[in-house]
Amino acid sequence: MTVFEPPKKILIVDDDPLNIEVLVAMLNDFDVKILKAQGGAEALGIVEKEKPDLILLDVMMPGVSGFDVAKQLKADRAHRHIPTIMVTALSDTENKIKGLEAGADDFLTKPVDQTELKARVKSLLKVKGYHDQLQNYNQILEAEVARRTQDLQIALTRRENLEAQLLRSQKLEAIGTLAGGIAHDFNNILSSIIGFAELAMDEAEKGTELWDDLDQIIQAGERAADMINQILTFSREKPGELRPIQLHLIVKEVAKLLEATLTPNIKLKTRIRSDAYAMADATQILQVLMNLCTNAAHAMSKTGGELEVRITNVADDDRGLRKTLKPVTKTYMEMTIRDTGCGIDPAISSRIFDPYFTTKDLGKGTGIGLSIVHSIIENHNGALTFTSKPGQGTTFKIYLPVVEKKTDHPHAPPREYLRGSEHIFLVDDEQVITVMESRILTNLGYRVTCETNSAKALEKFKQNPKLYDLLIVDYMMPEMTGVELAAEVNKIRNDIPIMLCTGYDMKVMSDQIEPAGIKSVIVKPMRKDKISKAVRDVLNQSKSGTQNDANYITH
Amino acid sequence: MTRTILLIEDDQQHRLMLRKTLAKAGYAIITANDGKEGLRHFDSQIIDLVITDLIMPEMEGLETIRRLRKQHKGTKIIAISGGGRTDPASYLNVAKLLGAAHALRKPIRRKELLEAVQDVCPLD
Repeated sequence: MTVFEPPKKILIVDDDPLNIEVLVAMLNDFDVKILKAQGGAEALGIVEKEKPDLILLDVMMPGVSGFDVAKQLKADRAHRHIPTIMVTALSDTENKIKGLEAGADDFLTKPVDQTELKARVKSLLKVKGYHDQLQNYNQILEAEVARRTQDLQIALTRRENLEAQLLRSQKLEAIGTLAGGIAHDFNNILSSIIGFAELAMDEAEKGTELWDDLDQIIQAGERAADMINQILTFSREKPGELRPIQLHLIVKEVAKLLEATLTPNIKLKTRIRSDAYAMADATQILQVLMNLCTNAAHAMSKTGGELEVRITNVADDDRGLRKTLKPVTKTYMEMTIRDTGCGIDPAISSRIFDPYFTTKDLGKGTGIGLSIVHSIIENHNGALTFTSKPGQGTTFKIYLPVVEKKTDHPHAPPREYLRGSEHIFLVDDEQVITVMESRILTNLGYRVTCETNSAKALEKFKQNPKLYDLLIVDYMMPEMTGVELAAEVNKIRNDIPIMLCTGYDMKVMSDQIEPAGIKSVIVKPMRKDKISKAVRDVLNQSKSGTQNDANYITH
Repeated sequence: MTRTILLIEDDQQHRLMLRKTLAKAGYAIITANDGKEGLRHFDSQIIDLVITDLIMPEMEGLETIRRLRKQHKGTKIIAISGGGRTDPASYLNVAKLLGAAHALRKPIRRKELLEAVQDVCPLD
């Protein structure tokens, strides 16, 4: 590769033009551009303008001397790298030292010897060349460092976002698990409180203070029951029935409901720019929109303002979307709920999705709304984002994956289930689950054997390992977990396909799942469509002998 | 004619509340702490209606319902549940599939309870 390089520039400074001409003549076989200056001040001006690669500097000049020029150049960051050769009639050591102190790189004594001049010039031009190159490399390096630092910052921010998301979902999960454990007792207690209060009311006269107090007990009990129910939404994935629906129809319904309830100082604007279909539970999406809109109205209750509900299609290359969603190649639709209200205080914005977090007065809300909204949207494989400026308003955006419309009648899509007649061995310690799952599977044509104890199941399997075509095991079982049971079964018969059912996210355990011979992981709750497809897939795979990594089915 | 209800519920306090409520409405009440104990009452009593909780130690409610359907075919059943690890709706749906006439979710309001009871076991 040839790179065009402009000729090097040499500045010759001398108060006597004849001396300059002598030096020019001596350098005439160099491919260089010669610049001339007849005084120190002129020299400094040329340096500024032309940035020479070398300076031949006469020391003894009237006005600004050679020493002064050298000193000034060395003090200037932009020019201190220009090599300077002092040309002087003075050969005494004192002046040489003075020159060096001023910053000269070399000396030539008049009368100048041509060979010596050429050698010094050549060598210093070379040094200057190296220096320039180094500086170039430095610049490239600095740019590279800056670029990488920026990448790193982006990665770090992304990581922080993910960590915050993880923490949030862990918090929700922990609460859900806890709630599941106590819900049963809690509902008994609440039922007793309400029931006894109702009995006591028989003894009180309506309109008396006692009657009113008892009525308050009942109301409080019912509020607590509602709360338990809502908390339980976390412990169970309850996506209801997801069907292809045109979300703008829900938006229209929400607008109707809002018109009836909004105070006159709030103006509602509905913008519908998409009639695409999404797999969604209409009731839940309605709840989500109502919740966000009610919050928005609440934020504008004092000041009044504008509430906009908008639905648009969004391309999958949207950058904002990319940040919030897992890598996917789906088309999304975007629902925007924007208000011009008081906004969310930045100090609390990281907590708005926490269960129980509320800014409403005691008794006005349970603090559950937004965390429920969040989990519903996650269950729809969607994403929820918000931006807020205190005093200016808040915008929530919901993204849901768009589906192709498959049927002319979105509310009743025909369901075709995959069927079979193989023999399935089902192991789950919860009898209710085995009852339900075996009903589903039997309806699909399969023969089903159930067992609620994992150790017993293993015994049963050992007795006749060839009897079954597929083993479905629950993960969380006392004595032996589903993964442990699968590993044992796999030792006896490594060609039997095994499916693991779980209420938990098992991706973290993939190092145990595959060695145990598990071909598919299915996340509860089981729906007929999900289980029929998963079972058929695993059985077909095992028949065709394809070896795949464990499939992961959540929806 | 007296109507007798067998009330199977392991939560003592809740059992007491239901017993008082139903007795006040005019029913004769026998109580049991779990399904096993409840089924034993059939040996000595004529029982018109069984109200059973679903999550109990010893014999849980669904199994109790299954046995009742086998051993005492004509018995009317009402299931009640507040759920637990599983959605009460799932338990209650299964209870209905197994033959419970009504399935009620805890906490139970008196009106709802009495309507269900009177539906399957009306007082003269």
